[in-house]
This record gives sequence, C-alpha cells and structure tokens, in this order.
Amino acid sequence: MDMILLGFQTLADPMVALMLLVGVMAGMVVGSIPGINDNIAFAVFIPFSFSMPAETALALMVGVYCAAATGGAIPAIVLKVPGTASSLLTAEDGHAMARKGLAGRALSIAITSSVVGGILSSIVLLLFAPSLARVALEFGYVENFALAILGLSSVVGLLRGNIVKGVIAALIGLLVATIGFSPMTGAARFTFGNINLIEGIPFVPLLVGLFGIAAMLDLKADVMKTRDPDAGPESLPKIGSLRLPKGLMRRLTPVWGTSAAIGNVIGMLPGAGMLMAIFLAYDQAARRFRRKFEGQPGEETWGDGAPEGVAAPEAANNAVTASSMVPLLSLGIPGNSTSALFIGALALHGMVPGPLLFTQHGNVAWMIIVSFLFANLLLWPVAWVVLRTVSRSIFAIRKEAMVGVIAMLCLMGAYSDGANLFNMWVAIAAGVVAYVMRLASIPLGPAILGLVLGPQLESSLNNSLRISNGDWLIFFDAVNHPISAGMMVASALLWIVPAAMGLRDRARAAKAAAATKDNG
Amino acid sequence: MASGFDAMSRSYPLALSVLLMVFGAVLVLRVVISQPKSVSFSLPARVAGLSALLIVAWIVALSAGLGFVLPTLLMQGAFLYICGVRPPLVAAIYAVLITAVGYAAFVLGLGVRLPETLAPWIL
Repeated sequence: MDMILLGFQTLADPMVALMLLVGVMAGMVVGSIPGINDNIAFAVFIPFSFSMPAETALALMVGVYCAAATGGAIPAIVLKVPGTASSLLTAEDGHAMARKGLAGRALSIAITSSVVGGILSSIVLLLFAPSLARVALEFGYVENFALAILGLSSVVGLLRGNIVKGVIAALIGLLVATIGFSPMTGAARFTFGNINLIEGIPFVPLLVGLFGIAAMLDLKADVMKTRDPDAGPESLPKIGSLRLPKGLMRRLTPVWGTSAAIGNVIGMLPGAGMLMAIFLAYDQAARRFRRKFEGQPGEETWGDGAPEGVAAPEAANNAVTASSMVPLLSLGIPGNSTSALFIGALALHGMVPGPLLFTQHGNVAWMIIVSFLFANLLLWPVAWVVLRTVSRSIFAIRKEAMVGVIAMLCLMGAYSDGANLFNMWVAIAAGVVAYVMRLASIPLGPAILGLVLGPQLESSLNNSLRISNGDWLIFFDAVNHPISAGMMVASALLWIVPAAMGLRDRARAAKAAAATKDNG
Repeated sequence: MASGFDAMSRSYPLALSVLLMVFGAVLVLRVVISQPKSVSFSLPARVAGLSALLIVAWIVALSAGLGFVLPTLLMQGAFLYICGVRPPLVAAIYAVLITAVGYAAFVLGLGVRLPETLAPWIL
C-alpha cells in the first residue's frame, strides 16, 4: 500500500501529471493520423524524453502508449482508415455506424470500451507486476537462464506454422546482442575495430530503426501502390452526439468484460501481440451477437454497424497496453513490440526493467503503474476535446507527407542519443533489415526478444555452468532449482503443444482429402 | 575484431551461428521442396532502395558540414515528389514546413547539437 502511495505521490508532481496529460493528448492526436501506428508514435516520442527527468519522461511515454491505441479508432470510424493496426476491426462496424449517421455513438462506444479495457488491465498490472517481481527477486543465474528460455519459447511457440522463421529471427536477435564486450571476459567481439560498437549496438537507434524506419518504408510502399495525385481530403460524416444510452451500456457490459479478459491474458504473454487479442475478442463478440441479437427487429447484421463490433476490439486493444507491461516490469520481458520500446525509454534514463526496478527505482516503477490507471481515466475528456477541435485538421494531413516526417523524426531521434552520426547509420541499417524481414515473413518479435534477453541468457548460462561444473542438468534440478525446472518444462510444452497440434491438423486435413477422393 | 578473442567468449556466438545455419538450411530446404509461387519484389526493392539512398545522401550531407536546413529541405522535397505530392509548389511548402518544425523541435526545443557545419552561418 505504501508503495502504491509512493506511485501516487510521484505522479502528483505537477510537471509529471502535466506530461501524462500531454502524452495522452499527443498519443490521441498522433494515433488518429492514418499510417502512424503505435510503434511509430512511441519511437518518435522517445527522443523528446531525452532532456526530461525520468519520472516526467516515462509519464509522457505511458500517456502516448495508452492513447495511441484509442486514437486509432477515430479515423477508423470516421474515414474507415484505421489510424493504428489495433483499430483494424473497429473500422468495419464503426464506419458502418458512421455512414448511418451514428458516428458520435460509434466513437463513444470505442472510447468507453477503451477506457473500460484500459482500467481493468491497469488493475491487473497493479496486482500482478509487483507480486511477480517479488518472486523474481529470488532468482539466481539458473532461474534467470530458464526465464530467458521461457520468454523466447513463448514467442516462438506462439507462431504456429512459422516456427522455423521464428527461431531464425530469435537467433538473429541473440547473435546481434553478442556484439560488444563479452560479459564473461570483457573481450571485444565483432566490433571490427569500431569504437562505437564496443558497448554493443546502440539500443535506442536500433529500436527506432526496427520500428520507425521499417514502418516508414511500409508506409511509402503503400503510398506508392495507391497514390492518386488528384485525391483531396475526404468529406467527413457529421460526428453528432457522443451520448451513450444506458440500455446500450448494459448490453455491452458482458462484451467489455470478456474482451478485457482476453486482452489481459494475451497482453501478459510475451510476443502474443495486440492483433491476436483483438481478433479473439472480435470473434467472441460475433458469436454472442449472432446468438442474441442478429435477425431481431431493428438489429443490424454483424459487420454492418453492430455496436459489439466496435466495443470488443477497442476494449481488447486497450487491455493489452497495461497488461503487456506485467512481464516487462516484473521480469524484464516485453509483452509486445511497443512495450519493447519501453525498454529503450527506460534505458535512456539508466533503468533496467525487471525485479530490480522495484527495489532500485521503486518510485518510478510504481509511478508507471499508477500512470496507466490515470492515463485511461484521462482518455475520455481528452478524446472529447480532440474530436471537437483538431480531428478535422488531422484528417487533412496527407499520408504522403508523413513518409519524410517519420524518416526525419526517427533519424534525428536516433542521432539525439549521444549526438552521434553513427546512430543514424544503425537506424537506417536496422530499418532496411526489418523491412526485408517483414517481406520475407520473418517475424520481428522474436528478434527483439533475442536482442533484449541475449546478454542475460549468455551470462546466466555461463555462470550456471560454472556453478554446476559444466552439468547441464542443473536447469532441470527439481530439488535445488524447482522454479527453473518448472520453467524449462513449461518452455518444452510451448514447443511441443503447437507442434503436436500442427501435426494433428495436418493429419485431419489429409484424412478429409482422402475421404473426399473416395467419395469422388 | 570479428575473431581472435578467447575461447570462452567465442563458444556462445559460435553455437548460435551453428544453430542459425541449421535452421537456415531447413528453411531453404522447405522452400525448395514446396516450390512456392514467385512473388514480385520490384516495388518493395524500389521503395527500400530509393529511401535508403535519400537517407544515406542526407546523412552524408549532414556529416560533410552542409548543415541541417538545406539537406533536410532537399530530402523532404524528394520524398514528397516520389510519393506523388503535386503540384511542386505544394510539395515545396510541405518541405519548408516539415524542415522548420524539425529544426524547431530538435535544435531549438530539445537543444540537440547538430554536426559541425562548414561555416557558422549555415543552419
């Protein structure tokens, strides 16, 4: 309780509170610009936090992170152009409602759902992160190695049908993480005599390149594919009243609960990502809608203006934001790609996420947790202001102009980390590599996790083997290291279960094909 | 250096490299066996090539002491032109605005120290 109060106390600093509000507002505005996803919004704001004290900077980042996902719903509903990938599904029913003159109601459902999902996931963060961190404080080298293996396995195991590419991505990340000083002997590895590489590849420019520059290249490809020089800004539907009837709120309450629960569970799994959560929540809501409402008088069909189609993805995507911070703050493992950028933001201020964050920088760790709660509470009034004031100007910004803006912001952001031109080269190289990986369908998530967990994996492996005199069974020793043994078994299951399910699916498909052939 | 360090520091990256080679070979074999449909990469290659070229030229200009304003104006103008912003006057206005906002945000706002220029009056 004292620690929660400490978090509140830190947030009560007028400058910190103001930056949280600025972050929510900026995230909402940036998230509503089509083409700018949550990652770019976050990558672009990291450099702006350089000169601020840690508390102020992290409050700003929490605000941006929470609001960008909500802001994406605004153009999704008004223009049918999702501002962020997380509002991909909101565009379907949301825009259908807008076309029927219910834009205000659709926006209101989206924002309320985001607030409900976000608050529920903030409570999960408040309850789980510190408890997990307390357990993680008991970890030694053996448990740390098992934890890194569990983190990597959870990401790779979740990529059903794409496991080989996932492993390759993770190995690339782990290999890149070996550049620089060896944690065992201090020898410089793979530096090619370049002094800039002695401490490893600079992390912030690397992340800015992997997310920002790669997304810029994606956006540019999209613009070049669909460019129409004569097209001007679209005429927008009238937004109208934002009031949400009580009956509709009662009807949507179970959807909010289910979707937030899905978002919370998925958010806590490293690498599962926001998209998985919104698709699962959308599917659950569709089943409920078809069972209870479809075909009744006055009801829409699914995908053509069903309020549940807006509520489910929006509650789920905001539930992912805070819950994805549970593994990050407690164990140092990012829950999704955007929360991986948080590591960069923390690193800039000399902090390392994980259990020690709660003991070494308790005020900041608790402030981050409390900020998630307040950022979600601020979403409604800020969304109202944004909708009534700057929305129309935001939609007038041409997507084409954003390509150069993102490039400049990302590269200047990378450069600002130490005023070093080498960082720009890192960012552009990382961006091109990430873009090529995306084209080859090699997932980026495992590579990021490999980069983050690489140093921990290597040093804990070496130290564990030293303790055990080279006995690898130390990691499975259920008597002396039960946590490690448990995590190793869980890791093995994460590999075996999806592989077994894949084999079962293949066998079923072959059986079905044979049956069709026999009948034919 | 890429090699020549002690055995203890070498074994871990070496093991990772061997694993990467094994999984890479599995991927290549899979592609050869399944013979997937060929996909055109001309647009993505053009996008990545052009953008990388523009950005590299910008970084080289910055490090050569040409300042921030001129190289950024030219880079933004080129990006806008490639992305199809017409007429050129609109593209020029956008480029000036973006450059001004970038300079104000990073140099005046955040106090970022830009690389040294050839002459003090070059911004």
